[in-house]
Amino acid sequence: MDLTWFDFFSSQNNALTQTDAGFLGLTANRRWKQEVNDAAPSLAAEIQDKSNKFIFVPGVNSTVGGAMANDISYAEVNKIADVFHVANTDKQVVFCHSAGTQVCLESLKDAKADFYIFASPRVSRSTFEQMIHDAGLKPEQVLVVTAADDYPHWPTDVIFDPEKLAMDIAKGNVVNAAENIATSLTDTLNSSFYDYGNNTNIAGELEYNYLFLDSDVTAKDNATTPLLKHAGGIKGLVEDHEYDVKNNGETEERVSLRKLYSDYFKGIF
Amino acid sequence: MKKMAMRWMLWCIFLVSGGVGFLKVRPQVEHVWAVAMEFVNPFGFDDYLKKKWDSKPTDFLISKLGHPAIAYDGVSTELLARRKDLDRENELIGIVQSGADQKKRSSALSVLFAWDKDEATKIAKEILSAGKKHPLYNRAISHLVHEKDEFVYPFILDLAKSPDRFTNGAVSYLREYGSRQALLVLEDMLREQNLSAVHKI
Repeated sequence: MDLTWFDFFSSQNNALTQTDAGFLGLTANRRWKQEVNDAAPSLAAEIQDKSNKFIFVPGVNSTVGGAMANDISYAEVNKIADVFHVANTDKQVVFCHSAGTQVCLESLKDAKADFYIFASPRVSRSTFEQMIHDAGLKPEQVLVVTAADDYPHWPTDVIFDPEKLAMDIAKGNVVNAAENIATSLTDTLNSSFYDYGNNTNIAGELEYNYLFLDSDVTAKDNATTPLLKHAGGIKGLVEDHEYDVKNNGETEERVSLRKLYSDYFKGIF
Repeated sequence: MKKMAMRWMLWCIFLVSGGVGFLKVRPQVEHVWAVAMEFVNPFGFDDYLKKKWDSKPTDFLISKLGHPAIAYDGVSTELLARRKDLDRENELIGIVQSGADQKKRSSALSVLFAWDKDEATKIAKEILSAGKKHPLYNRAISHLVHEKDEFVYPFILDLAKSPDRFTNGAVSYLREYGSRQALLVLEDMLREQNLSAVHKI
């Protein structure tokens, strides 16, 4: 996610600019924007070369082939690519994660692959929907994956009734007004975790496929820490974990992430 | 003097009610804290917690089982599983058999399987015998399948005959159980799924 909320601190011409939060925010935002702006044209060029069957686009905190804990090795990228049997098809798959999802969306203006996985998208859902719509991607070409312990998103549908709030305040009904604000805040917080679950339009048609990793059953079986964080959609695949999931809203129990990705990919044939 | 006593009493009420209030919402506060920590430290909040909690007493770790923050629940489960503090086994059994929330019981059962497989298997079988309404029914199947215990086979078969057999975990259970008998059932299911896919076309 673009850390625009930090901009408030950074842009204030007062003492706040001098705070660590303001400094960090400014740095993080610059780094994010710079990386996305630099990477999008390069990604478009890679996609235009149709001999590239599988392209992995990491976020800002991980690199391919690096030595840090968050990095992903070439062997792991190959393992992910194998799920899509890319060697045996003429289809092109792009797997993007975190900030990489914004790179993928920006690149859609110049090039389009056959199948996209957006693992933990960091843009608002309305922007995301608009960009895949503008690019002419069909719902079966797009799979969004998030996990139960992922970061919150910017919610698109904020449930808030400003008119009712104004009426309550005008009438002096403080309790109702406070309730309204509290409910709105709670709804916004919940919505910020599960916002991408709203993947149908007004007519009830799918805008994109959505997979929510609810519980890591492999971790439960082995009494280990679950792979349900920001990189759950990648680590769970690399370590071949099974999950209880919500697959376009339908509950599925104990299903392998490899199978789910593979099934969605097969769906485009 | 009377005024002073009154003031002290009000302070006491304020502190006690504040303290009780905080204890009540503490798990939620910790949940928000864990998400914030993960956000500012994406390079391994779990690892940080593991190091920090490794020296904590067993009781502390048990208290974190089933915590709303998945990191807290997961890390405490993993550290407890490694620790094998058998003096606390009865406490764990108590949690599994208690009316505590499902998440806490489920994590306690995972730890129990790491500590004392025989006892955990016995409890898992009791859970299955209690029927599908037991909140840990699927978790018990999952553990027994993992242990390839023959007792579990009829229960998998039951899931494999259910109308929601393609989404209730039956496919995965049959595959992991892996006996010839189970694989034949799985083969039939997959054939059926392919046929229905053809029908849809």
